This record gives sequence, structure tokens and C-alpha cells, in this order.
Amino acid sequence: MSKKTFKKILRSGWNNFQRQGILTFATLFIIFIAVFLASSLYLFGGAIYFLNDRLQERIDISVFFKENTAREDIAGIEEQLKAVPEVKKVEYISADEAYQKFVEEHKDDQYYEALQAIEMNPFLASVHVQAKDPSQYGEISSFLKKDEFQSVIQNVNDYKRGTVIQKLTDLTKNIRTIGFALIGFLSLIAVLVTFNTIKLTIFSQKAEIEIMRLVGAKKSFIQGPYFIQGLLCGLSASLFAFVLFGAFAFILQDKLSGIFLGFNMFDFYRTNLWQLLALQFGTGLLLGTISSVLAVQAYLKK
Amino acid sequence: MIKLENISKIYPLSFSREQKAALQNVSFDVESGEFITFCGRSGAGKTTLLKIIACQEKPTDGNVFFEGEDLCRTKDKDICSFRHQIGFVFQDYKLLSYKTVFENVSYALEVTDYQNGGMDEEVEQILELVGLQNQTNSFPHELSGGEKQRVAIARALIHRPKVVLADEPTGNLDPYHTRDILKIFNKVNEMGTTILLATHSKEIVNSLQRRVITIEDGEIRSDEAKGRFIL
Repeated sequence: MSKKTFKKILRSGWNNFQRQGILTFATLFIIFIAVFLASSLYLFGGAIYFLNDRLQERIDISVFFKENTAREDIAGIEEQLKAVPEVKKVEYISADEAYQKFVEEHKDDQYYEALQAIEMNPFLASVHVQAKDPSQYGEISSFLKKDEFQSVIQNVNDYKRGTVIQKLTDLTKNIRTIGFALIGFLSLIAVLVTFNTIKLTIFSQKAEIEIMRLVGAKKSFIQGPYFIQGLLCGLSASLFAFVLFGAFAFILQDKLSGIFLGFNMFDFYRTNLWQLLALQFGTGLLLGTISSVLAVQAYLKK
Repeated sequence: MIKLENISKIYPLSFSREQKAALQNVSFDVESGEFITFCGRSGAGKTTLLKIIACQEKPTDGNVFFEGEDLCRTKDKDICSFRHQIGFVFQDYKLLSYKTVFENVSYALEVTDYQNGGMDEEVEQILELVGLQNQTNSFPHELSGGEKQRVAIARALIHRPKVVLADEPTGNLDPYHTRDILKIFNKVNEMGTTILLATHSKEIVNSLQRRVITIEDGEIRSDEAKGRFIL
């Protein structure tokens, strides 16, 4: 294709984009919805990961030590726990620290008054153990049940929370599985709806395509402007989606943060800006160009 | 220049096993520079005949030759170059609705990979010839029927085709515009372009006084060098 022909195709595509108001609007709008949906699903995926991490962080095994257990003895157990391959994190909280933490959290309610009333520190020193994977808590729990530790350990709270840990583990897995299945399903619907809408809008161009063929236009000369038009629709739709999505993320960040356990939508938008840009512009440009080329090709074959 | 040999075209009818013959054993020759009028009632087969010559339809039987080449065997990719030698004018104009008058006309030149400079001047000249020099930036929906038809004629002539196929080009026009259009066709024909015109108008056929091929029920009823409307 000569440079001159390429220029003509570009100009023709741009003219079509400008002049075919309703057709351009319909195509642009449907691509915008698909891009916006893809961005929302990406955000939803991010929120699922965030929630999953937060849930996993909240799952731990707390080991409470008997009163007056020497710090060295606890440190020894800590070291042994750190050596267990399944263990991700071990955190020691002394009785004083536990007391302070409780005071911090309850300084304005009746629990604080109750604590003041007993005039002593009822808290025990403890070690909080986090596993690399929630399914590994069983092994850590068995490790802590060894006889050699029973002289210093008051209790290990997983005996009571064992089912809760299992339920939370299952829940996070289910949320991820359902979430990503939903993302896949909605993405497929978005692509099909977009493709068919663009195909329908190009259907109105059937007569024009026939005229072009009749005056002797080559296939590339007919297809080219539609490709450019699709590209411009995809580009504009992605740009609109990018700006609007950013604005929504900014406006709704506080409200959504409360619902998603502190997940900040706007922070996510900023930190994943390049991936989002690639997703939005990739989706928009691909939908715009591929569907317009496929739809025109269907009429060129006839 | 153009030779049709025993052309038949049979269409299957929808929702039944019956078939309808639009053309049956049609044969004739067209010499370069001729002005031929195909006349006949609506549905006689005039449009089908022009469509077959334009490679828009393939005949069920028979052959069409253009300058010795069998058009029925032409590959799809070569049809474009064949159509660069033909100009089309239709009753419903078939203009590209989102292009201006100027762009509609220049499009026919652009698709031919026109390499010479001065394309704009050529388009302006042809628009002047059809009296549309002041409407170059108008869109088809802003024009009257006669103006649209003149755009279609300008588009059909811009690339200097060897043959112009005109299917009821005056069907939607008043007598004044019809006379203008026929004048243009006569002028173009005098310059050496072959014109094949399909019409059912008695006035047009009689006023032209050129070769007339009368078609009735898909068959040639008469072929006269200086014919008249006989139906």
C-alpha cells in the first residue's frame, strides 16, 4: 500500500468517525461500557486479593504462656517455631504490652473501668503465629501440642478457633474462585455484546459497502477506513472510561473503603495505573478494531 | 467490445421449489462507442442484464465477454480492475451518504490508484460539466433528486470509463432533469464512451433514436439499429 493510499484511508476513517454521529456514538458507547466493565472487574479482582490478604492476616494461632514463665523460655519456643517451615511470622507480646494494647483499644468504654477495678494485670505473655497458608495451621497446632512445651504453655487458642480458621480458609478460597469465575463470565458477555452491537451498526453500512465495491474499490480500501474508525472509537471510549473511572475511584474511595475493610479504590487506581491503562486501552482498541474488521469482512465476502 | 452468448439467469423462488427465469438465451454484441437502450416493462430482465454485464451477478448459463475476456471466469480480485473501466448510474443514485459531492466523485478516481496530480481539478471540471460546481461541499441529503443523479453521473464519468451502465437513471426525475441527463449521456457518447441505458420510458426511447433492444419476459423480442418503443 502506497503512502498516498494510506493517507487517503486515514482521512476517510477520520471523516467517517466525525460524520457518522449516531453510528460513532453507538459504537463508542458500547465499547465504553465494555472498557468500564473490564476496569471494574480488574478493581474487583484487586479488592478480592486485598480482602483475602486481610482475612489471612487476621487468622493466627495465639499461644498464651503461664504466669512467670521466663522470657528466655518463651524466646526458645519462638526460635523453634520460626524453624517450622509452615510458619510465616512469629510475634511476641508481653503481658505489659497486652495490657497497654487493651487500654488503648478500650479507654472509652466499660471494659477499661472493669480492668481498673481489679487493680492488676490479668494478661498473659503470648506469641502469635501466622502460617504461610491457612491450611497449614493444623500442623503448627500439632507442633505446639508437644509434651515438652506443656510446662510453660497455658493454652493455645486454636482449640477453640479451629473451625473458625477452617471456615475462613474455605471462605477466602470460595470468594476468589467465585470472583474470578464471575469476572471471566462477565468479560465474555461484554465481548459478545460489544461485537454484536458493532456488527449491527455496521449492518447499516451494508449498502455503502456495496456501492464501494461497485465503483471498483479494493477490499483493503473499503476495510481500511472502518478499521481506522473502529480504532478511533476504541481510543475515545478508553479515554472516557479512564477519566470517568478515575473520577469515580476518587469520589467513592471513602465509601467503598468502609465496605471493603479498608480497601482504597483510588490508591489501587494510582498504584496500578499502568496495568489499568494497558487493560482499558487494550480492551477498547481491540474491541473497536477487531469487531469492525470482522463485521466488514462478513459483507465483503457476500 | 461486449459480447453476450446465450445468457440465462434463473432465480429460485423463496419458500418454494419453483424457479423464475429472469433472462433466457440472451445474445447480442456491443460495439465500442455505441449507445444502446434496453427497453421493457418492469421485471422484464433489464436490471438483471446490466448486473450480469457489471459482474454483480453471475449468469446461470452462458458467457459474457468484455474485450475478449470471459467475465464469468474473472477472479474476484480482478473484478476491481474491470470495474475501473465501467461507470454506473442507478435510479436510486447509490451515493455514499457520509461523503460530500466532491468526495463521492473523487472516490471513484481514488479507488483506481490514480497517480497523476491534479485530481481535484479533474473533479471540479466534471462537476462543472454536470452543473454542480457550487455544490461541491454538500452532502447527498442536501441535494434534490436531479442533483443527486448528476453527482452519480459525474462519479460514473470521472475515471473516463469505456462503458457507462445506466439503470433507469431518469426514473425519479421530472422531464426537465430527464432532458438534462440525456444531454449529458449524448455528449459523453459523442466523446466515444459506450452507453448502455435501461429504461421503460417511451419518450426517452423515441427521443434518442439509437439502437434499441426490447426485452420481454427475459427474452430479446427485437434488436433494431434505430429503434422505437414497441411495447
